[in-house]
Amino acid sequence: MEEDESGVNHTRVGILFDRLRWEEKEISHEFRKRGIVAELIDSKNIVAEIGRPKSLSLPSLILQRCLSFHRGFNLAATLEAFGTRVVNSSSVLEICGNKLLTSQLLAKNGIPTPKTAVSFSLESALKAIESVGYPCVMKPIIGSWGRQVVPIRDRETAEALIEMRDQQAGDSTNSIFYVQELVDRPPRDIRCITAAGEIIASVYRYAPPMSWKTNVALGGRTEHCSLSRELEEIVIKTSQAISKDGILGIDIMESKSSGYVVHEVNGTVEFRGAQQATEKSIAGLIVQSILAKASDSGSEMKDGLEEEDAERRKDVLSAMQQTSTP
Amino acid sequence: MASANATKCPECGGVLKIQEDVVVGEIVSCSDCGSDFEVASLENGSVSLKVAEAVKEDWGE
Repeated sequence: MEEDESGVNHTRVGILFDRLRWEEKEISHEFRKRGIVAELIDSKNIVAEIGRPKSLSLPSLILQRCLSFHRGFNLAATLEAFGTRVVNSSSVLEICGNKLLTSQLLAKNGIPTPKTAVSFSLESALKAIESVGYPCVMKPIIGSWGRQVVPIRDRETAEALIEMRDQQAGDSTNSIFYVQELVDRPPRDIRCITAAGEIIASVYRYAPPMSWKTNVALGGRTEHCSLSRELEEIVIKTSQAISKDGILGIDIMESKSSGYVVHEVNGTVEFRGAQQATEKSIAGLIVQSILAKASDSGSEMKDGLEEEDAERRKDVLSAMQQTSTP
Repeated sequence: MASANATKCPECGGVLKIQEDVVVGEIVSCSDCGSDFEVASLENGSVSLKVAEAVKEDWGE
């Protein structure tokens, strides 16, 4: 935390990245529109000395936007140990980055999810698959952009995939078999983006032709989704269960047999695709949410204006929060 | 170093177009060979590039 000579707290804002994408530039732009110069911090250049917070000179409020899960999670934990507030926090990133932890937390909070089983060895993998039943989907517990997500429609395929896993060199999470029912649904899912528990965008994501994966990164398209009261409640409940302050991308499927099911929560949400189907600026709403939380916590934003007294800064911040987004 | 509008692709020698509003850390891609480069620095309207970090298996949401 930074204090000037009069003891007034000034909080700088940073956007932590490893690959600077459209999303990070938009967020930076939205801060700038509100008179705040957010520092774009390349995580690849950071060297931190454990136990020495002063080894880094970084803002006390940081928006974590690293594309790499491990880098983002570990950096968030490092910065938090130095007293930095990171959004999303390392504990939120850890949950969202691990499908098993996410499933457990959703189930614990009574949020509907697809039928899921997990086993922890090759020997028991087939039992996990057959407890869910065919057709099902095997997913890596830590993975993204639909990679290594494989549908399994019969025992023969199951045995072949288990054998392939056995042959794969790589990380030790290969011995974790996370299996989920293949949900019978329309060729789309629903992506809702929440900020501090409020829904700021909701879109349908349609799979590209000849594919069942709806990731926009894989060529899916988006369309605005109007939320029913039931779906709104599920999304808000999910948001509250994972993180009261965080920025989340919540993915829901419309199961023909069991209704809405939440299948994933993303802790570093990509929203270029969702923006195409959303009128208001998603980046602007994210920035508004962060500023509102910063105000609630009592810290002030260093906003690029000339040095002024604490009262005028509070007035400026209040006015920024009331600015409507395009 | 080259102008802020276009430069020669370090990989294939093709024309690599760069947006006027490019910032340090941003990725620019060569439309000829598909290689990705990261803007390493911007000085006096000149752009310096380095090879972008390769996509890894834990990237993405």
